[in-house]
Amino acid sequence: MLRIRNVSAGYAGISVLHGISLHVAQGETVCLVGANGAGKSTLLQVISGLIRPFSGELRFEDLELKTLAPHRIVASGVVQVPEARELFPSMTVRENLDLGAFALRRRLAQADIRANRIRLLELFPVLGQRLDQKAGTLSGGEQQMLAIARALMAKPRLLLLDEPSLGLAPLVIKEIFRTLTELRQEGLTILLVEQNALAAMRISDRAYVLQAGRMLLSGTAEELQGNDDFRRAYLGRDYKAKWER
Amino acid sequence: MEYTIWNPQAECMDREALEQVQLERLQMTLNLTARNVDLYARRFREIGLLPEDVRQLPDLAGIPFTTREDLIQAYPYGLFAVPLRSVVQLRLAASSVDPIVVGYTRQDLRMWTELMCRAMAAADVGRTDIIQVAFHYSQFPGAFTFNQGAESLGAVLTPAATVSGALQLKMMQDFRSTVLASTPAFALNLLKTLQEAGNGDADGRDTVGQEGAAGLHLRVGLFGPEALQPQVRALLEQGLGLRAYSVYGVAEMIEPALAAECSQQSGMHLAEDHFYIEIIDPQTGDTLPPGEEGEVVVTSLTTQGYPLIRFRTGDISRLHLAACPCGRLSARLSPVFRRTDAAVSIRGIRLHPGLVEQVVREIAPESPDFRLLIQTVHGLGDQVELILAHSEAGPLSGATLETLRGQLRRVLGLGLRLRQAPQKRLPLAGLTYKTTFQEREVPASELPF
Repeated sequence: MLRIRNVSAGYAGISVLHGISLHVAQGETVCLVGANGAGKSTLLQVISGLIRPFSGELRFEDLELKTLAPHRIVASGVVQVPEARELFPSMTVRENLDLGAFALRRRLAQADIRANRIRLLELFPVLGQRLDQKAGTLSGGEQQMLAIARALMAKPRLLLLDEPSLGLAPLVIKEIFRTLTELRQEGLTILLVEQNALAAMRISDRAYVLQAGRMLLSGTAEELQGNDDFRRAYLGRDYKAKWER
Repeated sequence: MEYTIWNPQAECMDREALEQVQLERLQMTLNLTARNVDLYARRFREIGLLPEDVRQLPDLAGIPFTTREDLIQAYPYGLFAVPLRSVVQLRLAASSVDPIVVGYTRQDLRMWTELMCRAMAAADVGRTDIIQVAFHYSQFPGAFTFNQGAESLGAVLTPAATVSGALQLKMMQDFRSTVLASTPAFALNLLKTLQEAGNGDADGRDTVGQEGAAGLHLRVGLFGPEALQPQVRALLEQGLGLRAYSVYGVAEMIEPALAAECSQQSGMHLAEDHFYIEIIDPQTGDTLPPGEEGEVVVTSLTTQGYPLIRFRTGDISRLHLAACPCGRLSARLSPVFRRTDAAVSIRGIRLHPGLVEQVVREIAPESPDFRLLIQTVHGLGDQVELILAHSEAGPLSGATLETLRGQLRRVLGLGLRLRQAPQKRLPLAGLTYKTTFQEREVPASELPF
């Protein structure tokens, strides 16, 4: 579904990603793990068009994303939940949700958008109770759920999630991961960036390990958990000699 | 007919998806080796290559080969990509005078076990089978993987490594073993023992093989590391009442099951999701297109402990991309009957057995098979005897033999002794060169060569 080849990208001349290749198949949940500064978020922003890559190929089905404007990428079915949630705090939950469907405003009837909202409120019952509350008054966990729900209003076929567990209490994280599992069971394709690697891998089919802008490992959760290189990449621990025990 | 495929997702991946996976894994391997393996880091630096410069699979051709000499020089830990605390097994490639040691991480062993399961499933071996593994463990350390595979399948495993032929047969009969895993040579030896015993003593008190092959319950034979010559296959299949399958591995990588035959017995399916295979011209080093014969070059894609980049195996084979009726989409490798170093030195003159075959085909095409017997003095080639099999019409005429002798001398610059023998009296092992690829049930039009 998503096929990335040799993507190099960065900020103002500083190269962050060096020739990244990865793929996400239809219906898969794939997570990207790595230490701070490995380039995980940069990669997501390249996919959603917020950062233009220096080079490489980004194919979503038959579409080349590299030259598309971010709003066109959203319309094509790739929607990102940003790391900082980026809600509109002075608008209500309902308004925030409806804005999620902005890219589809010409394609979908109001009734469809409303039906979609109702379906989402079943998935996130807590938002249903707060529909007319200002988004800024929600708790961190509720805001994260709203951010995910807003992304789902755009009817994505590929959902990009950047650190959905960031700054949340363990119980809330559990709730968010439960929701992601449900979405996955519904057949949604998900690309997930997480610091909380072990938890993320538990709900993923596969994982990629990024280190300093380079892809180092990939595999299933089971394969990677037993892999020392994975721990080294993640914890940044290195060894000096081969025979070091 | 239903075919069992152990890992359909991997074995039936379409080419485009496979190439994406291969590229991703290749880039990861390059990243890992550039970081962790001094030899590769140095080589990449020398040619000014960054791992990300390999943007597509054919770009790999710009990286120098890894040779057997490299592995020997790197002994013991030079080519390891992980520290020893991540290694769970060290194995010596025993065949060499100069040792080579390969280290496996837990994940590496799991991968090789999975490949063995794929090979076993391809040969229609399943959990109801009783698998007798008759490899000598110190000579073939890869035999352990047959054990692991058998256990993973849930089959019954009978390790029978250092047991005599007669006892092997008794075990086979009494345990009702359904699968034999061994070298082709050992299987032939078993067959011989069986036939001798089957003929019985004068007073009929034979101990094994009272019912001959009928007393065996063998169904499948898994043979390696040498390829099954078509005639050896026929002999084993008839004599032991089984279907014989080849399993291919690279000696320096120790582990078997890099490629294995499926029910079609028409080429060995490669584990392309874990290894990238190139066929090169051994002289020029150029990559050859699929279907052409050349040296097999292996790059590991997922190996963690002992990754190899463009390792020259010395094995001569061909790659076939045509779809197989078994449903797997992975490329197939022809059986390896020759090596780049197949030539033998006879009193200082290089003898290329391929040339002998060419001459025999030309002058005595009616002879179905031949063997070259090399007589050595202190390990050096001294005399060569060419043993020709009788044709259907009987021995070749004296005139044909004379022409052959003369032509061989002209072509090889070497006098060969010629002898004829009935086909079944030919030595079982020896230098024979049957490089034909069996096209059973695959229409020739579908094969890309």
